[in-house]
Amino acid sequence: MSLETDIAHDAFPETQWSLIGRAKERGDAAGREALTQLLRRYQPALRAHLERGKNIPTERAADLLQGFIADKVIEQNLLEHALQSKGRFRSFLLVTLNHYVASSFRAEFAAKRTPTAGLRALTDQDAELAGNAPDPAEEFTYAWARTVVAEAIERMRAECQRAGRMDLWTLFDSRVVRPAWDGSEPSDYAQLVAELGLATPLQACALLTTAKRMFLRNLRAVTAEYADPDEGPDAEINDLKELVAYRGRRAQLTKRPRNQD
Amino acid sequence: MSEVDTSQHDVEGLSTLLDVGDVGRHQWKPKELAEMASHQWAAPLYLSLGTFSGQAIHLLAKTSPQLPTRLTLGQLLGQPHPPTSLLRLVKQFAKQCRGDANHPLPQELVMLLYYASVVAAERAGEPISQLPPASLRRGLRWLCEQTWVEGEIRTLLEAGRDRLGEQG
Repeated sequence: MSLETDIAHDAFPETQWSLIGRAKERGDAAGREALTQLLRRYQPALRAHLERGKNIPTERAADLLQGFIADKVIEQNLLEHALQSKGRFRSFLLVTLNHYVASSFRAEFAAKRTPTAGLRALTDQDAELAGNAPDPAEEFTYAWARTVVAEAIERMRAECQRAGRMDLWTLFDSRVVRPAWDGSEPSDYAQLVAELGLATPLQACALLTTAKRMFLRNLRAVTAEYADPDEGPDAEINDLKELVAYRGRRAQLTKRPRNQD
Repeated sequence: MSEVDTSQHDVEGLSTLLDVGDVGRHQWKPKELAEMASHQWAAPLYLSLGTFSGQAIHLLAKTSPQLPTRLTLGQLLGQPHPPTSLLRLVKQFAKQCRGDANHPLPQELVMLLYYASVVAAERAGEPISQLPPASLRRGLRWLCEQTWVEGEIRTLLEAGRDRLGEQG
């Protein structure tokens, strides 16, 4: 990215809705690029929803997702219906995908020759039951939370690089990101003091505070791009936090010892 | 043996990143607190007292005989008769850190600075604290119980605790 694009991106971050607006004009290159960017951002979460939320095998989920994008998003111009007044875009996308999947299953069964006492047609209810997670949307939202955080981390890293502040990134990455993301031990204080040439504990701690503030600012910026404008990014972050915390509590309750079958 | 739950780690990691929250408070292990205490001890006063660092330079210049500009906290507290003005400055810095919700220094280190300055002043016969002896004893007892308080720092605090204990 050029410096001018970087500055423009920072000063006027693209809102999700302006991105959607541009994507609607898919006749031009900018519109197609916007649509590609939009789909790339949501695809991991949609895939997680199908595979883990609805227990659809990976290959089948990939087919369904490709079909959804080709038939609904592109062919039927789904985005025309994604109006801001209808609430969160991710919720809209999820509901539409669920309807598409249910329709696909119905069409498949209808196309098969069945015995007189054979299988009944798959209804919407059956399609829902195909996923046995307590809340199928949870997989989508969890995957989306990961996407949002990963984007915020990447933006912070890029900002530190542009600003010549890799000391901030090194500290944040080694103390916060890597321990959270891959479970590695945080780099210890003495190591960081030596590596970054920090003169006092106050300087070290202040630097870590600055780094956390920078990450939080980027996290808010990412969520602001798609959050409901009436609610704002903090409400969206809290919503994602609650979902992740709920998933953690549920995982604790359903953990089984290895030797119990 | 219980099941290894890798997804639980993923959940906890994601929770941590979504909940950066109180940006001014950081988690440090005891070993790191020991390293920070040593770092603070070895750092020149004119760098290590935050917004009071400038005042440290001014006070150092007024000492007689004049103390070096690069005097460290450890060197100050190691003197039999350290300048009370500088000890008060260290105590002020600690109080400011304790009272500032955004201040990033760990509260354990702040407490160490406070009590170390008070003990050094009391040892020189020029008390700088209004705290009652019982409160001072409690604070010193807690610090002496911390494994990360080591070396000459521990020696200073234990001697102060013992002197206060003798006074009843």
